[in-house]
Amino acid sequence: MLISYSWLKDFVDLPIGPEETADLLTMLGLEAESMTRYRGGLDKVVVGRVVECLPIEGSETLKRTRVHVGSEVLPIVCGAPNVREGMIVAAALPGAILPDGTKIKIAKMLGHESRGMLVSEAEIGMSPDAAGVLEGDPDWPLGMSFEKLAISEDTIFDVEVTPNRPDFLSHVGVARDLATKLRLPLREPGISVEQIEAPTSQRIRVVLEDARSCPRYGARFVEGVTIKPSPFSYRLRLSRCGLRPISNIVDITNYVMLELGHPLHAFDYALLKGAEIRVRCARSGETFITLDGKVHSLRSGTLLICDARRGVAIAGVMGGQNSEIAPTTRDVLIECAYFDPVSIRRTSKFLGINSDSSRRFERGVNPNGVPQVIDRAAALMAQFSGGKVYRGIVDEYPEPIEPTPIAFRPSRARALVGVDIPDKAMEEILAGLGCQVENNEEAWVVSAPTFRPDLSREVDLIEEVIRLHGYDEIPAAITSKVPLRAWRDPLRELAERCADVLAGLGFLEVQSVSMGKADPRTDPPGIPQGVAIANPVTDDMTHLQGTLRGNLVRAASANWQRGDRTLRLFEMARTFHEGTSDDPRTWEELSLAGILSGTVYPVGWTDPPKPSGFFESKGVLDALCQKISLDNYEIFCYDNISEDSLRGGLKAGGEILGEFGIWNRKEMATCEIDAEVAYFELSVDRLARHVQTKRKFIPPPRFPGATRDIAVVVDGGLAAGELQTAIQRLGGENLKRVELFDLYLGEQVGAGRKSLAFRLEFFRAERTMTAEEVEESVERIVAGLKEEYQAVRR
Amino acid sequence: MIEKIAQIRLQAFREFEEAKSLQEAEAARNKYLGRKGAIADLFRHMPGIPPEERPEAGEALNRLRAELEVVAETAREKFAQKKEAPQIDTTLPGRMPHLGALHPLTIVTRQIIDIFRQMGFAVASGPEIETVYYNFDALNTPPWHPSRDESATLYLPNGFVLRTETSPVQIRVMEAMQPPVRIIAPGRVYRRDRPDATHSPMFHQVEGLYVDEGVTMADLKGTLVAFYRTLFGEQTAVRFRPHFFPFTEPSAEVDITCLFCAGKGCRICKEAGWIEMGGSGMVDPNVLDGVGYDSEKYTGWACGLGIERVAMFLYGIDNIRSLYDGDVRFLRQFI
Ligand SMILES: [Zn+2]
Repeated sequence: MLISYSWLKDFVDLPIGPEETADLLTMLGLEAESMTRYRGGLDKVVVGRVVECLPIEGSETLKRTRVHVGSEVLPIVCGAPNVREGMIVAAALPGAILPDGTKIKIAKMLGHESRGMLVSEAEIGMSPDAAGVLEGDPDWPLGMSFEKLAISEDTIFDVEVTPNRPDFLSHVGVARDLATKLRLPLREPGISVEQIEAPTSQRIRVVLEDARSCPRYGARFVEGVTIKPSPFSYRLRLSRCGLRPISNIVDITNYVMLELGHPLHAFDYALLKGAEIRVRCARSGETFITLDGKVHSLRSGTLLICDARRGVAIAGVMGGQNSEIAPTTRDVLIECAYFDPVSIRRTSKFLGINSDSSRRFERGVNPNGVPQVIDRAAALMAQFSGGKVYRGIVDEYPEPIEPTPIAFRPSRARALVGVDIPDKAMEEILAGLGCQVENNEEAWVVSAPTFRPDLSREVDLIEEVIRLHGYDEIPAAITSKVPLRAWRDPLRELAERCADVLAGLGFLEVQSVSMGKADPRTDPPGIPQGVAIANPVTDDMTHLQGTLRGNLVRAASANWQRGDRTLRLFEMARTFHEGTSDDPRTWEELSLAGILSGTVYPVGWTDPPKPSGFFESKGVLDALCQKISLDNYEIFCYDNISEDSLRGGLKAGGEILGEFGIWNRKEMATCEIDAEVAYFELSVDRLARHVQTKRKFIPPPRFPGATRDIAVVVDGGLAAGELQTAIQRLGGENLKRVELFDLYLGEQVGAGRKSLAFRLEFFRAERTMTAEEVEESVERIVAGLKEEYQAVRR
Repeated sequence: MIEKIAQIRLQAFREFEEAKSLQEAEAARNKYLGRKGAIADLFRHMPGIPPEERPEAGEALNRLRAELEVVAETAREKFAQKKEAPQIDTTLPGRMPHLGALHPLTIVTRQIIDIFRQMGFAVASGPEIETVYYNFDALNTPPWHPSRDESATLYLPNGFVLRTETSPVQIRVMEAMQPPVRIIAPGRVYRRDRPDATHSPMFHQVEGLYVDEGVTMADLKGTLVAFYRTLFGEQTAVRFRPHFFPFTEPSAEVDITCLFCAGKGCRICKEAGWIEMGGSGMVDPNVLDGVGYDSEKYTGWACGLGIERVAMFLYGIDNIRSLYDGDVRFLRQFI
């Protein structure tokens, strides 16, 4: 919303300049996002009248004009579309320097001398209007310098109006808050309409078929208008505030809207059939052409303003082409109504029209402001168009909307905001904002004005009081009554622990946008699509992620392309999943995923680089499980897997907690990574169910134990894990630890065979084990392995 | 004599020091410790000095000889060793493991949580896929509010919504317990914003909530002052600016002293000297009534802030997208 500083000054005698006003507005909740300064007139730019305007042969656009500038008549070539004979213009004389640095010189164009330039408002920094040359008022003295012309400099604030404040969409509304804040009187525009004897009701009848959507409809009739430009100063304000001036009648409706915040519509009366306005709902499929020329197919809820025969305006949204003000208009019907905000919002959304009018109606204009607004418009029309205003308003308002009384306790206000505001100050603030205050000691009754639909409860009034009193007055408390309660959140603690462990193991944490789009052509296998979004923001964010691996592998790919090829990345975030037929609800869980690629150690100068792969991934997983004290977990692999495609999982207590594996070179080729990539992905929610919450200290053995190494040769297909489990079983309770420390495949053990070496640790809690006992256990193990697996001790 | 000894001592030490090879070291040894060396020479001159000086001079000379023998032996070892074993180049880098790191957003989130926890707040969490009730209705969002629009908010086909704030967590917590409630809720939130340098359709927020008897807006300001001073430094000031949020009444935008110009005005704060950090206000009575609290008895405040914004300010990151693209050149800076 663009607000003019000089316009505000029409209603309140601001003792402060534009900068301070902007700051004050910001602190009143109307944030001034930017300021534009416009200047008054420029030196060597003078008022002229176009006395001749002829086309130039060989040019489509250029015209040669002769411009009377008081003391002389100058030949000036001009290309503006709106220049015409008789027009009052701004002529920049040779020697003038425009704000953009252009120097005006005597020039020759297509063989015609040009002694100056006709300038637009934008060219001399008066407004953003650059559509054509400035058109002055007929009474401006020719030759007068624009510097002397009483045209105000101004500053325009671009303010952000929050959706609860319809009154801020007007200059009077903004001025009211400033006046209250500054404790100055508000001066609303004085209105006196000169009316003729004939009553308006003679010319128009208003029928409300839907008084719920249109609680009030006011109409006035102005006879015998002359359509012409409105006075320059009014046009200037409009264009500075972002509205294009059109003609006196249309400009007035816009001007009054910006002033009082209430949209108006003007009909060409001659085009209305049957001297009647009928407000009704459109029939479904009824078509209507708005004044921008667009054809709309309406639906049944749309509120339509009709004459006796057809629609002439979409209520509160936009007028129709069939009844709009034209240069030939003679008589005008002014509409000033109050429409139900919900109805307007629905229509505006359905039709996709967001007009200055709908924007105001859908936030709620003042139903009781209709007479003031329509009279203001009628008075200005009489003044600027020479029209005669008929007597009275035809005002259909079957059920007047009254302000609701609100119980207000000053003590409650003080208690809520923590500021000791005196009663008197509160009363002044509320009165300044237009409230009626009945001050009955403790419990006041406050009636909020109907232009403030946002004020309906005590707390709304409390906000007004502290807002106008000043948020800066709120002290910062230095003590607080803190409840003696503490919580622990095991899931959060586990999540932080996981992140710390992985960072400690050399992983860089990634955070990605949790929306994407899986693409089977470029993703490695096993990337689910996730949960579809109904209205995705972009084409590549159509789903909530079903896995974290998709984003990780994409990050890995980008890093790989850049030459960073030793990668250890992890991410912890929610993943999202469609429900099943049994339980169709979508669900989400906290997941943790990592990927590894490149070398085991950072490439350095010592050892030949060793590529990391499946066993590093498995090792990291194992380390993580130990560091988070996962109970009785098992890292397993699926059978029937080839060497370059290993897949496995993690489980504990019979529950699968996640998966891990490698993508081989071929699978990574689609991601443009020419290397094997290992991955894991776990559910943190599920991990949390299996971590040991209580750890118990086990005293270290008090008596020395014994260590023995055994190496056995077995069939190459026998799993080391199976052998290890067997050893553990055969070793009995004194065997406390079994660790594989060597694996050998080669000639010495024969084809299809392998040698596995285990270190065995024995001890007893109550005494030192004898050498015999240890040997006996070892023999038992070896014998058992021989029997079960045909293992041969080396 | 004593001066002479001292002089020779200095000279000898220097020569051993400067010796660059075994030969030079041996030459120095001969020059000072040899049979015709400087020390032997001085011993020879001993009889020529006054008898009362002799004991002192003798002792000094013996001490010097012992010293130089050690120095000469050290020099010889040094060069001898050099010959046998290859020298270790200790300037070679050490063998380092991979260095991991937490993401800056994680680091900042933990800092924020830590500060609030010290002030007695518990951490709460909730789902990212929310119901319209928790995300809008329970937060007093009017039916017409633009945030409900499909152009502003992401929906699932079944009508669920991707939470636009972490505020629904506050409702869930209040439904589950009676006041006093003192929590913060960090997490991911979603808006239908096209990605650019300062916007992301997904980002992180922290919301704080305190409901109890007698909670005032001054408590809110005091807490935020304490929080922002701890996070950004003692010079930080906090300003409340009126605004409109459906969830709170009265509502305030929270500005803090611009971190880049200390409030003097610069490009980043658009010459205002203040930068916006988030919304806050007193919990609307409708919200309290909605969760079954007595809004006459209890009052409370709520506040929110964007974690990305804090991280970008703290580390001087100018493009929000660099937080999400997993570039290790970026991530390694937080080791
Ligand atoms: Zn600044």
